[in-house]
Amino acid sequence: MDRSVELLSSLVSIPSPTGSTERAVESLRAWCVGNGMDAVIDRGALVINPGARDLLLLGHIDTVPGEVPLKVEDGILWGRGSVDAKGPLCAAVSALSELPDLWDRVMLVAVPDEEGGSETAKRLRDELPEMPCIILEPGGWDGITISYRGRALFDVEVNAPRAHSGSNELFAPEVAIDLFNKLSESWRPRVLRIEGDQLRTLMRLDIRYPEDEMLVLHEIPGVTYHSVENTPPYSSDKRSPLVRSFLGAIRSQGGTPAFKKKTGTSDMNVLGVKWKTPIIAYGPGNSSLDHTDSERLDIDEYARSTGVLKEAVKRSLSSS
Amino acid sequence: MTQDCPVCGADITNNGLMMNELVPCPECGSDLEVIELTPLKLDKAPEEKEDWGE
Repeated sequence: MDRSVELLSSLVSIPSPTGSTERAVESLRAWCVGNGMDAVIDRGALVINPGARDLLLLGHIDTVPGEVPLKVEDGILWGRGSVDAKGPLCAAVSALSELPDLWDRVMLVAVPDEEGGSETAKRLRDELPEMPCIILEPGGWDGITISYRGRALFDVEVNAPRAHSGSNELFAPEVAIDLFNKLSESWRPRVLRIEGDQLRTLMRLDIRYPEDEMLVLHEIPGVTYHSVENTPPYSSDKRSPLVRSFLGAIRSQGGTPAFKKKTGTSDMNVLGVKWKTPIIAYGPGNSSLDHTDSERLDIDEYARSTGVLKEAVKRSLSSS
Repeated sequence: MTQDCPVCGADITNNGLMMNELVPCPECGSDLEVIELTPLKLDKAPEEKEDWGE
């Protein structure tokens, strides 16, 4: 088995849901050190080439919970995290291991909490000097992700007056359902939980919104909104040198590049709030398999993306 | 050295363009990608596709 595939297979075989990533982090650290790279563990994150300051590769080693057993069959590697995002992470680590001349310029960080609040990415954003950044998330070997939607997470509290079942007055759950239907005319709100009774209903909503659209919440008597978290949307400049490097790298591997605009969010949103340097996301895999029980990655695609990453990193640093 | 815009046919001059650089057509505004430098060759920039997930 190819050493890069061995790395991926080994890392996917170690369960690492957010909060239980130590074994996976140590395994990846040992692989990096064994391949000559400087790799340290800092507050749960693995930092490769910690002194480098020209380019940041930012991935995550944590996954959502739920076991998907590792198996390799007909060129497909199945397992939790194979797509989101150990595949993209291992492709980048493998690519970097083959670029020793650039180890003093390229830092790679594997964070332990992207699926659980992104506290490490927030810290990196505030502690590191700004530099061009490649977020390691799936988008297909020939895809360049240039934007992520924002995420509004909020609680809706509905208070309704006491009324008889035979009256025309709406009960609190009915007001909540009406509000959900109104929001659904413009958005795709997800109800994360709903509880209460006919007098008082609490509903937690998650809405993903693009950069060019304003999220307007309806004013309704008896309804109050409480923001839980707001992650702004982020769009990258398609004309940046980093995007140019990926266009050239994908074409050099025989691909036809495509730009991806994601409906989800990632650590690109976290860094993009502050950093003004170019940021894109890249990595192998079909992101519609994220978080599902069918997570799997085509090994040929994984190998191609490793080649693209290696070429793109070289090109981006030769043009800076 | 010039090249026709593949969308509207307008002349586009190579003023220090770089390989794989994205440039807007000055006439129609379409995003174009430099896919060859000598001779200059431009193609429509990659499409933007909405994609589910992270």
